[in-house]
Amino acid sequence: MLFLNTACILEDFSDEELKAVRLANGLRRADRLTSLAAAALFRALPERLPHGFSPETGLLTISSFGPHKTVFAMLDDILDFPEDQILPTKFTHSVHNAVTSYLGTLLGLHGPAFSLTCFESPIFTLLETAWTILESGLCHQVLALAIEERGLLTAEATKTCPQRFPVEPREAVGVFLASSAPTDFRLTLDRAKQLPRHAENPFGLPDETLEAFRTRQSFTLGTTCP
Amino acid sequence: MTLQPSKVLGIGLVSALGTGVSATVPALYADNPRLPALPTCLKTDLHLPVFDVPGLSRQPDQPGGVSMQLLRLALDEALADARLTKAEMRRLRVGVAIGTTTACQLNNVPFYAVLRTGQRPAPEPLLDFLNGNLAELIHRELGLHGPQITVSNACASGADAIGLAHLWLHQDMCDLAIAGGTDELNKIPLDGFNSLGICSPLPCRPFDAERRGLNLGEGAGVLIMARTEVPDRPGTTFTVNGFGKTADAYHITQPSPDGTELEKAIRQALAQAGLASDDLGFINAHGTGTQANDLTEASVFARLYPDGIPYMSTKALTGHTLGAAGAIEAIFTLLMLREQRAARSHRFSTLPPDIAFAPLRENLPLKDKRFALSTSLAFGGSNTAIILGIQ
Repeated sequence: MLFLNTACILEDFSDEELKAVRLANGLRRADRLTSLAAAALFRALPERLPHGFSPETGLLTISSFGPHKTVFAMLDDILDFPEDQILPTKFTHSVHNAVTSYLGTLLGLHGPAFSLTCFESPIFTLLETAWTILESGLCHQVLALAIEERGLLTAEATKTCPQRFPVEPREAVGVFLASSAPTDFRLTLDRAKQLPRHAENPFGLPDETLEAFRTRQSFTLGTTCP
Repeated sequence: MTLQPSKVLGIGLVSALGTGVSATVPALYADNPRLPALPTCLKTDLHLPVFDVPGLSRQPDQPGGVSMQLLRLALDEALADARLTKAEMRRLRVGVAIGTTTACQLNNVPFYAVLRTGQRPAPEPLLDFLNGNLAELIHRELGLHGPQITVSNACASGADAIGLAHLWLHQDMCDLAIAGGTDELNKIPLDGFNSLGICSPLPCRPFDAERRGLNLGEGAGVLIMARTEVPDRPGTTFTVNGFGKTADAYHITQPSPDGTELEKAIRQALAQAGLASDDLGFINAHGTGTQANDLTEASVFARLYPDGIPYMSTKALTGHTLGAAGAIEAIFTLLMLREQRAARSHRFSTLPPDIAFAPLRENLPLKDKRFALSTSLAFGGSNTAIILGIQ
C-alpha cells in the first residue's frame, strides 16, 4: 500500500514558463528536461517550494528517453569541434541523473535519491520504487517524478518503431508525493495486473488511471503493456 | 531500521583484470598490475590511457551494445556460480536491478551524424537503444516474474542497483534478484570527463599526493541475491548486509567537501546491518584519483575512524568503470573477505598533507573479519554505502 499526498500528470509547458522557472531559481544552465521537472513541481506543489520539504525527503526521477536533447547537443560538439573543446556543461547535463541532482539541490533534499530509466511501465516502476524506499525506513517521504521531453529522438522513434510508438510520446511530467504516514489517497501496486497501454496518453497510462489521479481515488495500479 | 541480510548465491564479473572470478583474484593482489593504455576501441585524439577488457571481441550492434555484452559475461558466470538454471528462475519471483550510464543513452555518433542532417539513418542503432534497456532486456530474455529497474545514478548506479535489490528481498517482493552494473568504454564520458579536467594522462593514483585524476575503464559485475530463507549453495556464502543512500544537495557534479552526507550513508548502512563501525575489516573506497573525491572520502574515514582503518581503491587496477564500478567493487570486497586478505591500494606512494592516514600500502591479512564496506560517490553528490559480509 502506498500513501500519496499528491499525484498529477502535467503537460503543455511553454518556453516562457520554463524560462521563468529557470531564472527565478538559479537554474540558468538547466536543460529542458530539468526545466520541465522544476516547472512541474512549481505547478503541483507551489506551497512546498523551494524549502517546504523535510531535508530527509527521498527523491526519485524516471525517464524513458532521458535528457536526449542534451545528449545530442553533446554529440554536436563531438562532431563539430576538436575533441578537447567539448563544453563541460553539455557533458554534465547529458548524464541521466543531472535532473535529480538539480532538483535535490534546489529543494535541499538529502534523502535517498535515485535516477531510473525504463520503457515498459515508468509510472508503475517509479511508484513501486517509492514504496520500496519508504518501506525500508531510509526516509518517510518520497518526491517522485516521471519526466519525458520531446525532441528529435522521440520523433525518430515514432517513425522507426511505429508498432511500439504509434504516436510520439507526450512531453509530460508526473509528480507524486508519497509518504509512510497514512493518507486517504492509497495505491495498491500489483505487478501481475496488466493494463492496456494508451499510446496517446502521457506515459501510456490508461484513462482510468489518469482519472484516479485527478480525483484522488484509491485504486490498484498495474503495469502497462503494449 | 535493521534489515535481514540478503544472501549472495553467485557472483560474476569482467573488468580489465580479466573475465571471471578465477582471473580476477590473483590480479587483485598482483605485484605488478596491468597498466592502462591508449584506447584502441575508440577513435580519439585525446592521449588518455584507459583500462579496456582484455581479449574482448566487441559486438556493439546488439540491444544494449557492448555494455550488454559485458553484462552477459558477468551474468552467465553468476548464474553458473549460483547453480541456477533458467528454468528454475522462471519458477521463482526474480527481480532484475542493473546500473549503467552509457547504455541508457542513444550516443551512437555515426547514427546521429546522419539524423541531424534531416536524412533517415539506418534504424538499427535506434532499435538497439529502444530494445536495450538492460533490466527489461534480461527480464524479457529470461522470462522472469518480478520487479525490474535500470538505475542510472551515474557512478553509483551499480551499487544502487544492489541496494535496491537488497530492499526488494527484505520486503518479499521477490525470492531472488539479479543485481549489478555494466558500462563500456565510450567516447561521451571520455570526452566529457576530459572537458572537466579530471582525466589523468598517467596511470591513476588514488589518494596519492601526486594524483592527477581518473582513468576510464569498462566492465560488469553481477550478484545473484536471495532472501534469507532460500537454502545456501555449497561453498562460501556471501551476504549484503546494509545499504545507505544520501544526497549532498550541493553541486551538480562535485561532492560536498565535508562529506557529511557520505558519512550519514555509511552510518545508515551500519545501522541497517546491525553492526558497529569496529565490525568492519576494511573499506573498499570509491577512490577515483580525483582531487575532490579522494579528499572527501578520506575526511569521512578520518572522522569515523580517528585511529585509522585499512582502506584501498581498486581503480588503479580497473579504471573507473562508471555504472559498473559499484557492482565490481562490491564483488572485489566479497572476494577479499573470502580470501581474508585486503588488497593494497595500487600505485599509492605518498600521503598528501590533507589526508589523515594512508590507504593500504601492502596486502593485509584479515583476522577473522566478516564484514567490509564499499563506498560509491556519483555526479550530483549521490552517496552510497554497502556493507558486505561472509557467513
